[in-house]
Amino acid sequence: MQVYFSHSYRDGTINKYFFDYFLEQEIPFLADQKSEVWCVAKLERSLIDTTGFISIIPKRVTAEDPQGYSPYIGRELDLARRARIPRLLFVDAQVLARHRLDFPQDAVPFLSDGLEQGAEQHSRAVRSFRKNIEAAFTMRRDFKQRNAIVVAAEGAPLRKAADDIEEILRRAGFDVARPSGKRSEGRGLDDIRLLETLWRAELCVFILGKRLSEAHVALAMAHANCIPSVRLQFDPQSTDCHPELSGVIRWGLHDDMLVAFNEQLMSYQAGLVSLDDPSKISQMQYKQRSENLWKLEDGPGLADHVHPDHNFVRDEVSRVREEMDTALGRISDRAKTLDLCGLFYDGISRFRCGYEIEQQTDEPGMQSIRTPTQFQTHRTATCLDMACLFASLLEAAGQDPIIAVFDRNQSAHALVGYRLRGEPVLKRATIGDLRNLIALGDAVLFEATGAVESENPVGAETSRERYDKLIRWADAVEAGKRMVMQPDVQLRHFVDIREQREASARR
Amino acid sequence: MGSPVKLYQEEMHNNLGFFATWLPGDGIEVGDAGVLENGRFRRMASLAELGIECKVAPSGGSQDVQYTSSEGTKIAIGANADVGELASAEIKIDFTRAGAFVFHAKQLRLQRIENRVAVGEAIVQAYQHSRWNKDWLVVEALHTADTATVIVSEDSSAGIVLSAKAAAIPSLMLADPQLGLSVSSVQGKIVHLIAAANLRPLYSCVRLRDPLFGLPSVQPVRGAASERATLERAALDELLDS
Repeated sequence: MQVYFSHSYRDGTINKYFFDYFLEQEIPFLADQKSEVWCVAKLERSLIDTTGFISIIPKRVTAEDPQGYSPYIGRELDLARRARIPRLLFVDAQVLARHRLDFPQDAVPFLSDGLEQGAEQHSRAVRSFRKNIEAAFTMRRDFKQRNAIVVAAEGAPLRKAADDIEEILRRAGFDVARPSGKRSEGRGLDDIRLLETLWRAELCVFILGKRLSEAHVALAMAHANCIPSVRLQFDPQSTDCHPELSGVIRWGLHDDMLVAFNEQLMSYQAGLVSLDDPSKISQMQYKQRSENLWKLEDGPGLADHVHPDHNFVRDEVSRVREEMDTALGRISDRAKTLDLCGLFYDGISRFRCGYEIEQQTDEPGMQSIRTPTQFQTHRTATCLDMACLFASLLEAAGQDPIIAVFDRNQSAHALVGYRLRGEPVLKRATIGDLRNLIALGDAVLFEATGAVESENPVGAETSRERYDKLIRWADAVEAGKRMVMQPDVQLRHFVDIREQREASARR
Repeated sequence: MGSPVKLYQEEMHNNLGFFATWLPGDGIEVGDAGVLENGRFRRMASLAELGIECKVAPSGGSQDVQYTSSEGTKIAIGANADVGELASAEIKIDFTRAGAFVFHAKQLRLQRIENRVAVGEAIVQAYQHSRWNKDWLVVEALHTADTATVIVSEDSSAGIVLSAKAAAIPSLMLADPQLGLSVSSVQGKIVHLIAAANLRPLYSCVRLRDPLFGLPSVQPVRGAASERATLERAALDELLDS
């Protein structure tokens, strides 16, 4: 007996509250390891293989919808409803009130700022759910392990795609069936042999053209029967091969499609993780590239992780330039520089990405730092990711970014900010020098994680300052100052990015 | 410079971010140019003397500061007096470490050079015309105190007893002139200034960047001054190793 656990990893307190009830009822969980690959086929397989589905749906504020919720959790719920497995939904009361028709009638509300108020109802719902899944009839899907089917519509590019997909599947150990696109001869949904072939398959891959075809009919059959499916929609105009929320991958270039399919297959094969602690799956698993790695002792090396040339950075700089209606590189007075940095900060906050602690690397003494593009894709960041992101923005805006890494309470934390243009530089920085710089107002360091959601304080901000999981710009600056002035902090690294670039140019 | 003074200066700098003036009563002004010698700022000239216009302005408000070394200092009020009590007070300070100190300052105010970019450029020009020694530092900011008490132990075991004329000790602000503090006795080697008026106990200085001309020869074409910093801050180890 295993239950699929669908939740937002960012809302640790809410998860913990409900998890205690689940533990009490000894409900064993499976959950999707947080990953940059959205693989609907894996979810479909998991949902029909599990005994039940529990979802905790907290509020996810966006600029468009202050009572919004994660579309990914919403999609998981849709898949669970389609699979008709026993379910238990806890939904933020405000979300439920605003989006009532998105959820089935049995959704149980909770108050995010008063969880205990619903304790009795929540406890009863979990107990009832446990009894339900203990007695529920579980329909086991009858399929052959490592059996796959590739169904392609007509057309040369689709046939070529099917050939290569088949080869990838074979190399991954699958036996692959390739029914002809024309074989149903117009029988459509009555093609029972096709349906049985689909049933037998562990995984289906549909390669669809622009026009409706027999492949679409086969897809409909698989969809109705909750058979795990990868959908590759040929679209010559497409330039982005990332899967949509529905799972559809639109592809225009053959090679891009193969890369995307490979990622889907790897994610599918990785499966789910057993869960005895929700925090275990809260870390984004991503493929670290060598350029992500930073040696913990190499302060100047942080400059290599500042990327003013990334498109995401350029777009944000353009947005701020338009807003300020001035050449950002000419700004040098204190108030305007603070405003400029505040606009970057508020801009990043609007994405409402999540804070997380760093992912383990394979190499001791190294830490992985996301690029700005990865921040945009992963939608999560560590303090150092955020520091390098803001340094990238400031450098792209012609300012002089600085990054400071501190040791405190057996942990390390990074702040970012800027030295005002033209102000004296620090030759060798000590914590005292930094305090001097901040006290004189020649530099500003701020709590960059305030621009991403975290339930608890990350740096020196107070719980009150981290309101609604974010920190206001003015409070982020205060929190940065507070951290620098704390008596127990040690300065591990201080990097003046412009100075570092010039030093590198001299070498 | 003796090790106790280094400890004092290092701890003061780490916590307050400024160089501690040594000796504590030394006179120093914003715009003074000079070198660091044995932990002291030795004045050689001033920006004004070199014809460099230097606008000095106060920065922020005033504040009282009390800082005591993290280790090796114990302050006790004499047996016949207590905070708030009407009595003639006696304050006993014991030091159990060389370099341990007490630093109390009343109405500490920051003043600094306002036109730093222009001063930096003028110094570069003075250097190019051989009127500026590139080893010179400029005092670009300093704290003045209406009154300050600075006591630094130069022995690993030392003590000082202060008597207050005031009938009551409203607070343990040893820079408060209303306490009428005077030294009753000293044991061991101690440098002390008690409620001294118009001190300049903290300062920071900058120097011409080095290497000034070792930069990339091709600068970006921006159509505007790059506002590259021409000055750099003097590091603590320069003071300690001077």
